[in-house]
Amino acid sequence: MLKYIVKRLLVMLLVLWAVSTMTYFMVHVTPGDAATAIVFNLTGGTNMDEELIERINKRFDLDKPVYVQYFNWLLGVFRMDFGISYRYNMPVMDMIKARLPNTARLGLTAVFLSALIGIPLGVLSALRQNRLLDHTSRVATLFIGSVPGFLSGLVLIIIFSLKLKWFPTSGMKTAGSIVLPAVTLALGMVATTTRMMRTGMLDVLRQDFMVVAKAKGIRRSSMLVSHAFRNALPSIVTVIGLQIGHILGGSVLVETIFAWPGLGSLLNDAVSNRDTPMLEGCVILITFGYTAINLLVDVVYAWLDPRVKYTEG
Amino acid sequence: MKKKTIVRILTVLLALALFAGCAGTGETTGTEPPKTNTPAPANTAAPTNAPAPANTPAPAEAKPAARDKVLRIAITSVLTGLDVTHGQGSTQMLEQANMLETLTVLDKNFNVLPCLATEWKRTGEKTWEFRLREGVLFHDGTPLTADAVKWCLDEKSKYVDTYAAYTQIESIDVIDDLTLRFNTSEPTSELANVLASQIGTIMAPTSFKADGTFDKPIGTGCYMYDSFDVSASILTAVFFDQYWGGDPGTSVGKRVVVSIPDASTRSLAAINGEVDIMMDAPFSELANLEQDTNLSVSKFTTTRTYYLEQNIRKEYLQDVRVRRALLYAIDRQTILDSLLMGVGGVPQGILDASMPWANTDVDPYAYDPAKAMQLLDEAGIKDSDGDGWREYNGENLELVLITMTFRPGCPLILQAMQQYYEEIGLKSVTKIVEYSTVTQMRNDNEYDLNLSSASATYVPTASYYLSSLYWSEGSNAQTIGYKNEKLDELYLECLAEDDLQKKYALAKEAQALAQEDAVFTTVMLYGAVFINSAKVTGFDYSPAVHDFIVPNSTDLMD
Repeated sequence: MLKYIVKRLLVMLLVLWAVSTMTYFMVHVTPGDAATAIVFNLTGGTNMDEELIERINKRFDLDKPVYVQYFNWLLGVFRMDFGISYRYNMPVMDMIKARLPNTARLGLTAVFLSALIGIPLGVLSALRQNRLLDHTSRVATLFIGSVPGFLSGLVLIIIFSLKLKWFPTSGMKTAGSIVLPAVTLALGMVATTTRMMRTGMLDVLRQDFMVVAKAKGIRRSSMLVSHAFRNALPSIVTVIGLQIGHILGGSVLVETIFAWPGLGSLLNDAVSNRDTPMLEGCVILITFGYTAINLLVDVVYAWLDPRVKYTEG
Repeated sequence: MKKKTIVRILTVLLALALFAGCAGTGETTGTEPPKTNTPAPANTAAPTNAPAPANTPAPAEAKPAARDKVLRIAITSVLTGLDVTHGQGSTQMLEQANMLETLTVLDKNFNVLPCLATEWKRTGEKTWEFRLREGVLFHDGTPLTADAVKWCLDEKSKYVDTYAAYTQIESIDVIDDLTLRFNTSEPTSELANVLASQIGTIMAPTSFKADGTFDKPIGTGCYMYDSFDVSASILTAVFFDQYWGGDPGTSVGKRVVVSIPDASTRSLAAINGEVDIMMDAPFSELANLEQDTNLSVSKFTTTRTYYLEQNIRKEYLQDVRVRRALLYAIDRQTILDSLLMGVGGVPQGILDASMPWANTDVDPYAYDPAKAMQLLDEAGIKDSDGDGWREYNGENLELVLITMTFRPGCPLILQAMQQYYEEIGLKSVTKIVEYSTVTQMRNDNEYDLNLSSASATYVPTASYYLSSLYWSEGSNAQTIGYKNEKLDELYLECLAEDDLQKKYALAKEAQALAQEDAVFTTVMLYGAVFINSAKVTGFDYSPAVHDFIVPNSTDLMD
């Protein structure tokens, strides 16, 4: 197991390097240049002064060849220095440190809500297979999951903010601010969680050991919780792990709609403004989060299901 | 420990973490008691009876206000720091939070008025002297001195990229405790105007800790720093009892400035009563917002322009008749009424008529498609093969119209232009791209017309817009090779002229030449729309500031 984890960690480093390098050069081959974008932000596009552009180029070493810029940036990354954001004139790490907890808070709440709704619904659906509850839950989750985030977010705002006045429309000023963005994010995940839970439960319920358990006269509730649910759990852990990984980068839309000051809106802003250091910082963090959670899920999977063994092959 | 137990413990911990996370920052809205822990000033000199700054009315003598209300202002930018010596938060702390001030201020008519400085004069070709107001205290009780002002501006010169280009200040000498001499790199008559802008905000040296790290912004404004949540981009300021300008007569004890970059989200926050003042709602939502009795919708024309740049590197656009035809073809009033929902204005010249140096005695190129077609015929751009489209030198002409995505009005206007050009037989294609791509296309000569937007008062002087677009040594004119020698001369004379009336006359003369040339032409005037709570009083728009100013006297009705 230890060898497996070490190997996965090395692969993770390789993935981080590949993704960040590709992103770096992709930004450089797109039309336009960073210095112009910075001066545009500084002056609102009013005075694209050549001297100012030159000064910016010098300050951020943008006048050097791309490969020199790249190696300087890479050296910085090894020292955990992701550079200075062109747009905010602040260290990238400081900005990420300020925003990451907000995204984590939003994402974990959404995953928690998704699990809270999806897991019981999936179990009930499996137990009532092909009956009204099963059909209703499948259609409902499919419908909810198909609605794009921007639409469900706006509908929730109209109902719960503008009509009922229960929650604020945006920001994170009050305790209730997290509810609507978290529910919006969770709605997109509920369908997957429910379906996976249902499938996992149905698989387990068909296993021989369940028939044996029933024949032995074990109570239904105990049979379902201790045998069926426990054995169906590993598949849902994988799904939840992937959802957590996805949330780091996938909450851009929801964060924009609800003015939630998280990593997603920071990334969106970095792309729009050619803020390469910030973009790279966000991309590395998201990639790291995704790969690390995948690794963690695999480890947890093995822990939950002793039949799973990771070998060097 | 059994796995089952571990899973249970982890579940409980996760639930607790989520509840803790949900607790938020606990920022309250609505009314609350004012803070009373204002630091005692070191120097207790009473505020002088000199005139208050432009955004402050005469001190109310009737009664000291209770100041138990919270004014919440939504801004479009993301506030990430408050160290103005590094270019952070100047505009927001000057214009919305009212924590910082400048040496001079501009009123709505662009007159320069005293603020932290009471007198100023140009003492030489490249020297100016400013006399500071006596008895002004920073929020920590330290007095405003010439040393403090010099320190702040010197720090900006090191770290703010635009400082040197805009102010032209080379060095500052302290003459005495309240007098400063500014030495500029070029002869300029406009330093007092320039220092009224956000580039001239003054912050105390005590804003920094002894180890040189930034602590908090300490200014001289009517409100002082209370808190800043960088992760949520929320700045809070509370009323400063020792304000030199006296009591503005407001019951607002606290101002909360919150970043909401998305226009739709800002509108929803206004509708729900979460913010009291916000700017720039989506055009499509204005009709609904105007129906809401809890809101007050007000539209203003700003000094920002939507301007059309005609690429005179293209042979057919070197003919002034073609350039003028392309302007006569546009029905600006319809664009304003139908697409921009009345937000903005139709220009009578290059600049908004409210600006004292605007020349409106020029051809505004009012909508006249017949004249446009006549001019194109005269220039040899005709439909020779009868297919309905005009040709140039026997080949079909297809104009490339470009604009940026950044300003929401730009794509709308560009698409309307495409329709108008079709009506006069000109085929065109539109490209709506990021600003840096626009720059690339301009550098690569891959377009015919570029619709852009610029502030005419980013530096609030009569010569600024001329230097920005028309001066042949400026980057915009250089990109397309535009040069009008007479206009260049007028610009330099305008920059150096001390007499205000002569200065404005020179600016107007230059604008007349620019309008005739029709290379950079204002197509529309940019509009600002404010969605305020109906309870807001004392708010007014000033075109002379960078973003929008919320005066010290702005209040909330019960």
